[in-house]
Parts: sequence; C-alpha cells; structure tokens
Amino acid sequence: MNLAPFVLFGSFAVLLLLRVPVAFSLGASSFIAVVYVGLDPMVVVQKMADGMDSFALLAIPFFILAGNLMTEGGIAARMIDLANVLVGFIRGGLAMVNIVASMFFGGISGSSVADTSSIGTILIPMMKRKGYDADYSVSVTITSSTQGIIIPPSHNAIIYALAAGGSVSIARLFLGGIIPGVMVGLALMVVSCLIAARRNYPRGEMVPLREALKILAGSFPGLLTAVIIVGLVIFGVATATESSAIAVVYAFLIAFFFYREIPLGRLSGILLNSVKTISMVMLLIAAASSFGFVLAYLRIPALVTEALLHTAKSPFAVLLMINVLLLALGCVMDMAPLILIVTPVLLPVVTKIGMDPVHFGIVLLLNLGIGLCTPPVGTTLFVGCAIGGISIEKTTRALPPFYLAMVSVLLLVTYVPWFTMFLPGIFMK
Amino acid sequence: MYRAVLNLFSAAVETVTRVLLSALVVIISWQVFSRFALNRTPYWAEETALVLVVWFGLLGAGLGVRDGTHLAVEFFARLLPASARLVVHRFVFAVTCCFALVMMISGARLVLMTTEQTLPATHLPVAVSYLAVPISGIFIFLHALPGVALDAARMSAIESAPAGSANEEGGG
Repeated sequence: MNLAPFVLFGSFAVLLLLRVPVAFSLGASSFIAVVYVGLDPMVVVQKMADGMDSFALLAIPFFILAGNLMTEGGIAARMIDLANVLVGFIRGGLAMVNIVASMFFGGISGSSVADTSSIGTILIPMMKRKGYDADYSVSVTITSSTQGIIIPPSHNAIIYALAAGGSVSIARLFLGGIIPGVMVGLALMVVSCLIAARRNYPRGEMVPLREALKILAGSFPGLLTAVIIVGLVIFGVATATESSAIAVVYAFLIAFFFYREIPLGRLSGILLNSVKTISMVMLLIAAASSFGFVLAYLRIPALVTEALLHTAKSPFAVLLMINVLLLALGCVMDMAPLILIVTPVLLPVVTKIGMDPVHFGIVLLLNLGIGLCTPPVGTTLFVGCAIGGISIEKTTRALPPFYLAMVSVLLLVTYVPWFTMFLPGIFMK
Repeated sequence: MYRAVLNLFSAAVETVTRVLLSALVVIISWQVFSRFALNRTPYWAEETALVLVVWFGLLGAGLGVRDGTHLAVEFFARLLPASARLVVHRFVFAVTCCFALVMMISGARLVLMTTEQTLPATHLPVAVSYLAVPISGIFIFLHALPGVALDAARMSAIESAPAGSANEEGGG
C-alpha cells in the first residue's frame, strides 16, 4: 500500500493543529512527502517560486492595494451616505444601509474583513446610538460584508482561478458572482427587516432630493472603480491584471486628488500595510503550489474523485457532502488557504459530475464566506466583535437567523446553476 | 547586535518591498498605456514584472514572520495550558527555521543550476528570480531563530496581539 498520501496529509494536519502557519505547514509537509517518495527536495522551492511566476497572480497585489487606497481615502463614508439615500427610510433603516453599503463597497474592496473594519467602524457605533442592540449591529455588519467576496472584483476569485490551474476565465467568474452576491444581500435584508420589526428598531428619514443628488455625485467616482475594472475585463479590453493596475492608479488619483481626506504622506503607510497583507497571500499561494504539485504527483485528486463518487451516488448528494465539508472546514480555517487547498482536490470531482468550474468557484466563495462569520475561527467575526465591543459568544447567539439566510442562498446557488451562469452566458458567448 | 543588524535588514526590506509594489503598478500601467497610445507592447514589461513579483512576495513573507501575521489555526493551541503553549510556540518557530533552511540550501542549488538559462525577452538569467528564494530564506530564518528560545514573557506579548488586527483583510 502506498503510504505517501498519509505522510503528506498526516504531517500537514499535525503541523496545522500545532499552530504552524498554514503556508509553512503546506511547504514543510510537501518537503516531507517529497523526501519520503525520493524526489529531489529542490522541487519544493522551485514549485514555490514558479507558483508566483504568473501574470494572472499580479492582479492580487493590485486589487488589495487599490482597495486599501479607496478605504483609507474615505470611500466607505460615501458608500454609506449613498445607501442611506436608497434604503435608510425602511424599518431598521441603518441595518438596510449597512447591507447596501457593503454591496457597493464589495465592488471596490473584495474583502470582507476590510469591509467590516471600514463600514463597521462608522455604522456599528451609529446603530448603537440609535437604539439597535450591539449583537444585531455586529451580526448585520459581518454577514453582509461577505458580499464583497463574491461581488466583483474580488481577489479571492483570482486566487480560485489560480488554484484551478488557470483554466477558469476571470471575466466569467466576475460576471458569475454578481447575482449570487446580490442574493446574499437581499436575503440578509429580509432577515434584518423581520428582526428590526420585532425589536421595534427605528426607521430613518427620507433624504431630500437636492441632498440626495449631491451624495450621488460624490459617491460616483468611487463606484466607477468597480465599473472600470469589471468593464475592461468583461469586454476584453485589458486582462484582469492590467485593469487592476489601472484601478490602482485611478484609486490613487481619486483618494489623493479628488476626495483629498488624507495627506500624500499616508501613501507610504498604505503601501506598507498592503505589502504585509499581500505577501501573506503570496506565500500561501507559493506554498500551495508546491503542495498542489505533490498532490498531483501522488494522484490524490483522482483518488478523492473516485472515493467521493463511490460513496455519494447522485450529483445532488456529492454537492451536499462538499458543502457540508467546506462549511466545517470554514469554521476552523481561513478563506485563502482553504481555496488553495481544496480547489485542486474538489474541482476534478465536480467537473466529473458536470458542474461548470465558474459555478463551483462561486459556490466555494459563498460557502467559505459563511465560514468567515462562524466561531471558533472567523476573521470577520473577530474584527466585527472587536469594533462592536461585544463578546464573540453574545454575537454568535444572535447569528443563527443570518446563517439561515446565507445557507439558503448557498443551497439555491449550488442547485440552480442559472443564478451563476446567466450573466456569463449573456456577455461571454 | 543581532537585533540591530536584523532591524537594519528589515528596514531595508520594508523599503524595497514598497518600491517593488509601486514599480509593479508603474510597469503594468505603462504596458497598457503603451499598447493603446503608442500601439506597441514593451517587450520587457511582463517578464520584468514576473521577476519582481517573486522577489516582492518572498521578501514580504519575512516581514510576516517578524509580525506574526501569517494565518494559522490558533484554535486548538489556545486550549492548552501556558506551559504547553510555550513549547508549541517554540516548535512553530523551529519548524519555520527548518523550512527557511530548506529555502536557503535548495534555493541556492536551484540558483546555481539556472545561471546559464536565460529568459526569452530580457535575456536575464533565470537564476535572477530564483535568487529570491535563498535570500528570503535567510531573512525568514533570522526572524524565526530567536523564537526557538522564546520565554514566557515574550509569549504573552505575542498572544495578546488582537486576533483580527494582526491579519487585516488577509482572510478575504
């Protein structure tokens, strides 16, 4: 019997449980497995460097940098003002504002933690002042911020495209995420509205037309970022990497010369913060590419496909198993590493049962987005609770209705491919 | 002494990575501009960018080791008593050191093997981009080494860092 897969996964699991960073766990277990099967260990570091040597990957640093420039440049406050014009007058108005602002903001940052920390910092204290409970305010903020992962542009979508081996079109992924992203927002609005009515939260006031037009004009340049990136990619004018570089230049100009809320001196700090976030993601991608090489060398994706299709008889059951597995993994692990680890293993399974890789990508992002809001480990949950000044336990007790909304959307998107594939089908023949 | 040299090294890396990130934006923007405005694609742009991004990513990873921002599964280790956690922390740094050693040794071999091969457009040696592996290995090693002899006081400083702020928006 070939023990190499057990050596690989065994050492990986042990290192992971002992709190070794995911990137080093991936690298070290690849090294151990490579030595075990008698390959030259040099291949591990070579695959690491080769994993970063990809033009598509360059979009990730650029998206993160553009998002940071926009966030620090005061875009969040403008998105909130805009959302207030649109939905502030409904019962539980500030919760609606929170969700709609995340929808807009998601088109700019593509990161749920960035969304929670920028929109949450403004809205959670505001909600508490107006009589909303802290657990509710934090729940609305963190769950709605996961829209940013699916609504394009999203650097996690690029990570998925890379993990899928470059065979997935980024333009199609971007288009595919729009409807499911909006569905998450709508489902959360229904739940928040019902709870708001029961707890008798206030409604906001209608914004006068003149004021509304002024707010619309102010938020327009920020919203345009998303339109530029997605538009260029969809119409094939520029690659995702090129349009993300243009987005950085655009965000730089808007933040420093149009909104002008921060001095030019902040640029150095924004760059350094971005470097730290980006290199964390890059090291993960590098290490995952060694790990992926070993997986392929040991033919593990083929073995998993066979085993899964053997246990679950129908495509329906396979997808259910995969979703449950991912939700469980999402409870203890973060998004980017999970995308990188599970994609090479599960993508062959789902393509075998006839699922489009774009459809699977959106299901994966949606599923792991829920994981960011679940204890014991949920980055977005942690940040939201820190901002709301409330314990994780208390927030978790308020979360189930919101989980229910998200899981319902997840199942709809999983089993009705139309939601994901409709837009790519129209725009990309 | 060790600290002073390492701080100098880190300061240099912080500057270099910032410059590399800005340079990447400029190069790719120039590529687009050149294609549309001057009607030609600069032959060197993509290849140079790919060399720079390998350097950028790997050097930055060392800063992540210094700041303890690399994503890890903290949950299970948190359940342990303080004395066991200290051992776990030391183990993590030891594994990091070992992996950095692999990066240094295998990386150096990789560099030596590829000095003769050149990239198609710019004719730079392939080793130029692989050189980032051993150099970053040294940087990561230097930052992880003191942690192998971590004491209880420094451990509580590491652990009290707020969970969310440490890995701002890396999660997604």
